[in-house]
Amino acid sequence: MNIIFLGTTGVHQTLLAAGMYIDPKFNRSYHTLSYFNDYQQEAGGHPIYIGRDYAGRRVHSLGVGADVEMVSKTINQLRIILDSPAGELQLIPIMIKSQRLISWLHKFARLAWLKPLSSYLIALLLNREYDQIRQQIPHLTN
Amino acid sequence: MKIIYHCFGGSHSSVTAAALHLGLLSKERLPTAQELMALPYYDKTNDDDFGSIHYMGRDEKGNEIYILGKKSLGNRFSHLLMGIAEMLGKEDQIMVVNVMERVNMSMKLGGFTSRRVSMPVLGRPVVIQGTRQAFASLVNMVEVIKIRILDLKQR
Repeated sequence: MNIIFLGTTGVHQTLLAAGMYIDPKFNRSYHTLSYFNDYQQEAGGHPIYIGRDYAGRRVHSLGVGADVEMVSKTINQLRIILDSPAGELQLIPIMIKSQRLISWLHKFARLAWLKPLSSYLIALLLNREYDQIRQQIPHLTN
Repeated sequence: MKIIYHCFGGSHSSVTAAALHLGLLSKERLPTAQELMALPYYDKTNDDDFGSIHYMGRDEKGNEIYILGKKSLGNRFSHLLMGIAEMLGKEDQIMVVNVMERVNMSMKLGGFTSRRVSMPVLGRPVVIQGTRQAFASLVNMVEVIKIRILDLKQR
């Protein structure tokens, strides 16, 4: 069983959501998250393995660009084509107001000397949207 | 094995590549406009088709051939799909092929005008001309893919 938190980028709000899902006591220290604002990781396009949840399910973070709904549809169809049961893959979209701004700020992380500023500004935005992200994690709202 | 050819709209280059793979088009000569338009999905998709994986047929080796329009997600989309397949333990059952690198400017302009701007009267002749110009390159790509499939199956 796999759980994928997916959003416009896989190294910000979805990474935070996955971190909170695995550890509900997570305390907003974004910089302690592996891959936070990691440009190379995001550019690769691969799902990022975060860890296992309380039930042993594998948890991933995935950035899919602006059209999250379209990619969700593709992933679900791919699962069907590959003859995998629905329970094998759970998609949890994480949508926040500042996701476009975060994607834009993330581009500066490509340059090593601008990455700290990019990370700082993105952390500020995520802090403002923290509750919004938290509300989209089923395990934490049920 | 399942082969997914993907391009921007899933309407021209991926359809042509899939048709070549399936033998719906001869690789020995340039296709006519009528032959291209007779292909399923060729210049017929709409916005709802973005992200949909369409089945095109089964090749002579039993591989299932699909097409997909992924907008401007580029080659990272191949990594994304392969990553999902790996997650499901099915990475050896799938090959994902980005056809965009074989697409020329006429295909982009004509395809955009025909499908996105909904002016096929203007865009269709341009995209058909572009497809004919890119045809040899698409034939080459499909041949390479078929060799790769054989290679993978022999491992």
